[in-house]
Amino acid sequence: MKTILITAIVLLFSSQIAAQSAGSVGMTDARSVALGRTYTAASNGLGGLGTNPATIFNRRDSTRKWEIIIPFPLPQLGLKVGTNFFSINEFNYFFGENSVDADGKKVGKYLTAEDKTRFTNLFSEGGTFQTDVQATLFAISFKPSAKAGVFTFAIGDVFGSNVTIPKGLVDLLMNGNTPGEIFNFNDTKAQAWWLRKYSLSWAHGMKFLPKIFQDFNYGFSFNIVSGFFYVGIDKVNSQFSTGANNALTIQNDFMAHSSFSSDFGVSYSFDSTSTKPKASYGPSPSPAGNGFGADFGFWGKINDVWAVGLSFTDLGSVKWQKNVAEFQANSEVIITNLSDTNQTKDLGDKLSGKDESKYIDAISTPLPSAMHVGVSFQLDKFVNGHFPGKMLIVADYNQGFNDQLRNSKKPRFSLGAEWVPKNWFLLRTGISVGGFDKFGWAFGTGFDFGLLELNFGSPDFHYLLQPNGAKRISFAMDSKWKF
Amino acid sequence: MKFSLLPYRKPVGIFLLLVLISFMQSCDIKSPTAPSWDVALNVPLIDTTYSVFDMIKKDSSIVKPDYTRQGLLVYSTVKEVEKIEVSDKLKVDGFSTSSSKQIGSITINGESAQADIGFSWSQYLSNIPPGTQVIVPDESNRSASNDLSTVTQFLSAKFESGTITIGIKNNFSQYVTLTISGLTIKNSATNEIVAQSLATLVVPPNSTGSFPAISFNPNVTVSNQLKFETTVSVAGSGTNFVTLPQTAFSVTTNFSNLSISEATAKIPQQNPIEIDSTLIMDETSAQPTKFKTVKIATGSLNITLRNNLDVDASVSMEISNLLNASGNIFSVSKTITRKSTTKFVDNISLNDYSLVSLDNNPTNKIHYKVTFNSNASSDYRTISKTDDFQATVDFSALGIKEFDGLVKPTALDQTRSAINLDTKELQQKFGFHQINFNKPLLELHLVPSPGAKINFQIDGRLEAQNSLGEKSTLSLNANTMDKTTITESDSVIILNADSVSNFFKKFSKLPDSIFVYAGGTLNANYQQVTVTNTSYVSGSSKIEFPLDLGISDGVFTDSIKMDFDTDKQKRIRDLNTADMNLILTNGLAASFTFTGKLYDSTNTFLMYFPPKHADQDTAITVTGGITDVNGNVVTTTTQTVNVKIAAGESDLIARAKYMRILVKLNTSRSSNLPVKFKTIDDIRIEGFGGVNYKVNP
Repeated sequence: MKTILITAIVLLFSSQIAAQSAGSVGMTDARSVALGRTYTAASNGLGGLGTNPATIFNRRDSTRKWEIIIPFPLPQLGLKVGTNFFSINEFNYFFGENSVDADGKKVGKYLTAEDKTRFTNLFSEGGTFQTDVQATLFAISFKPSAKAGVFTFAIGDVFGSNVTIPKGLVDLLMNGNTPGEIFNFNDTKAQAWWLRKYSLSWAHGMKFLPKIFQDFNYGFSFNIVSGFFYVGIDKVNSQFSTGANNALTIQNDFMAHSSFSSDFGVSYSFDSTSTKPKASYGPSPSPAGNGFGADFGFWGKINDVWAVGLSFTDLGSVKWQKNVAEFQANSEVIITNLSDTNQTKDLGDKLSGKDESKYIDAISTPLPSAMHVGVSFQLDKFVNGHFPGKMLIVADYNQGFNDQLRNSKKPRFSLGAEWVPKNWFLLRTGISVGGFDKFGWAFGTGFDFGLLELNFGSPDFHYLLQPNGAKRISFAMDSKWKF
Repeated sequence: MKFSLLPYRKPVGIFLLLVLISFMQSCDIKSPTAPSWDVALNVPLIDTTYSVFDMIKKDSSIVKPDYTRQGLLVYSTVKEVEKIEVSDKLKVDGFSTSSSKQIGSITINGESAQADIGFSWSQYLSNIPPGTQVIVPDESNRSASNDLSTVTQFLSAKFESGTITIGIKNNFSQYVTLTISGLTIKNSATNEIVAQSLATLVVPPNSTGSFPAISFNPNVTVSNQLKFETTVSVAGSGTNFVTLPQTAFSVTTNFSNLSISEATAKIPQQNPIEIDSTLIMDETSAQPTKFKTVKIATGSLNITLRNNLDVDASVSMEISNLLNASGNIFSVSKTITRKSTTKFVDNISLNDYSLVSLDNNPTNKIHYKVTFNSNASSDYRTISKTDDFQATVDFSALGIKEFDGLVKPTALDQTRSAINLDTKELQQKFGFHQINFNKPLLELHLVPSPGAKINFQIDGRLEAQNSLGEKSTLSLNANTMDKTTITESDSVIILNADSVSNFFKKFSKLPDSIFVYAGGTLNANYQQVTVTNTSYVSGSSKIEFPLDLGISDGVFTDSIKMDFDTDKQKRIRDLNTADMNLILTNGLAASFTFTGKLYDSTNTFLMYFPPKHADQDTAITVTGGITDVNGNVVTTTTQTVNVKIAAGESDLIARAKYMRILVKLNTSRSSNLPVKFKTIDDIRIEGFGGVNYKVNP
């Protein structure tokens, strides 16, 4: 057993590993995901990493002092890929039809005026493509005693991207332009990063307002963050208009930044003097940026039925210092003659701000700082055991402080329930309203075998019931060893 | 520690399987194909100002280093002109001379003749034997004669000069004095008096007396057998006895300083005879070739000598102007036998020989000197002072390598050069009723080859013919050129602009080429030149047609390939409709009317372009800019043209393989007066409109 443990630790340090970092809308561990990403008052053990470190102090089985997450038998993985606007039904409608033309070639659906309106309307509230991957491949938590508290160490990666296609662009492509019309592209967004977080947490119980709280925990995590790449548009204030004699004007105003690990061999087009460096891929690239973040939280058990939680996560930032480029453009391109190559040549460079782009020393990006408030309700206790098994009902309010990846300033409310009909079998469900996804019905299950706990969940389980209405694929799973 | 997973493996496995099957069964993502749709775009298709400079700047056949003249566009082309080579035209016709010189007076050696006179002349002593002691009586005027001994130097001779001294020796030893009164020498045979002295000579006994020297009778041919006649008087011995000698007296004649006009004689070596004369090149020419130095390429020399004398002669000859390849004066020596004609110099090649002026001034005279030295004869030869030596010097025609001097005006062969106007395409596609160039420039830049210092008078003609067979000719002469003669320092000839303009007015299509037939006269100015047989006149013709011209009823036709590939055809067909506005602002001094016709691969007419609609003509007309009296555009004109492409017409355009275009063109001024096309003149085309396009990714 000892050999297996050592081997697992070595493997974890040589692999891409991740730790939880939820933001307000990001994927978390499989149990929280199945509860509609509700965790503030309901997490326990390693489930509190990145959500509410105070709950790490809690154990589902208080006799287990150790909890370990390793990739075996299941890696801890949360994945969400998709959009917030485009379902499979819509995809099939616009892209799934085809016919054969006179030349024997397969041609796609011809969009009528109604179809174009339908397509354009899909983007009315922003057409965003999102990828959110988080993984914890190694985490260890040790609770030597209640007095000593719980010590936890975790390493994890977060990869995320958000790309929003501007509505104006879709409108222009679908419906064309008319003189005097202005198309704004201000809602263009694009952001992506890959972070690695090293977390050291400590949680402890204490007596606090004993008249209110039967038990009270507090905990905090210190996170050292290494960033491997970052790409983000900071500002887009561009527009396209048609003037007299159909003169086309592109008012281009945007700013974006990027930073890449030197191991990725990235070269920038504006730097004509550089030679493309050789890429060197590996599990641990040299960092492009470093930062520090902190989580802290509180959990209080009012009685056997009610408990509450409050946490703040990812308070900090990452400073990117390697290969940092600033792309910006603030120019006006007027095309009065499409056939004049002088007007159209290098248009891509002008719009991408190639001439104005440059290296800069560093940029700083905030972590997806968020506040989480939660409450839990133990139904079976409330009805004094007149319930088959155990039933926990939880609710969260998550408020992001910024719109970073995995975060949203739009508040998200979630409600979840965990039914334990047998001690080893757990069924979970929940809903999430608000945030990026707007709505999600979560479902999942867990198997607690004592030594090993397996959990599965999806925050968008409703898409299994209306599969062609799915806008994204999302699921989470993990396994946890407990000693 | 007990691992308690195994008992639950069945329910866990069933759960995972159900979830997986659920995912696999539930999604129905169809194979994606990009949709297509129509989009109405309002775009600025074109807003371009084409200046004349823009139109021609990519045409390297038109744009030359100097393509404008004060902003006026100039079609300029420079083409090489074929070399006009001197070659074998640098030559001198053959020339010769014949001269002779008589030997003149002939000298022969002196000689003497003697005679002893007995007593036959005496009336008293004639019968008395010599040795007898006698008293010699006086006698008076007794005639005496006798033959002289035979002369050996000649058999006969006619003397021009010479003296005869006659000595008389009195053979009486004592007491008797002889008086010789006069003496006549005669040919024995003919009694012709050869010489005569009337003097009286008194000769005492046993002494010798001489007559004064007498001359030969020039009219008498003297034979070698002479006799003398004289009158003898005797002053006797008185009473004295004297021994009668064998002969009374002796006569001795000495001939000296003999100069004869003719003779049969032994001829001693005479004084040398020289023929010192000149040959003259181009003697009859008013402008003969005169050389300072000439290096000969071809030609030969013949010299014939005739010796009319009856004696051999040693002859030396020198042509002081003629140097051999080594730079030495030409000379030759030979012996010519008597009475013979000799090829003294027999056709020697003069290659690399030189003729040089002796005083460094150009000359056409060649000086030569022949020296005859007659040889002495020991036998008798008949010779006359009129006998002569003859010399005939004959230079054949000389081809010249290098010449410095005054070459006679020499016509060189005409060459034919084609000046390609690089308008082959234009002359096929562009016709007109008349083209009226204003001040066209046609220059001939002709330069003598390096090292040559010459003047060259150009003559010849320009000829051009177009595809219609229209032909025009322009003679190159003083009426059509600013000058006719070029030199190494003045090498540009400008043709009269009006002449060139008229030359082109005869065409209704441009000729492809102009042919220059250029020849001329080397050294027409008859000046000192330096030239070789490899010299030439070469250079170029420069044509500059300022686009200051009038074109009436110009028609430009062309066929433009429109063979679109499949991808382009698809994109063209994706154009549903178009409604374009063209604003044409014409700053060119010419009006245009454009019509296009599209045809498919089977040459079947598809459509007009612009398409013919009820409200749309098939021609786009642009009015010419308004000009001032100098042909400069002072006011532009503006037209707005609407061009529509209706549904279905894009398919015809896509099928088109080519478009025949017709552009009618007239310059703006009346009577086809010239207008100016300046590089800054322009036409602005603004095109914008709406296109309904099928987006078919």
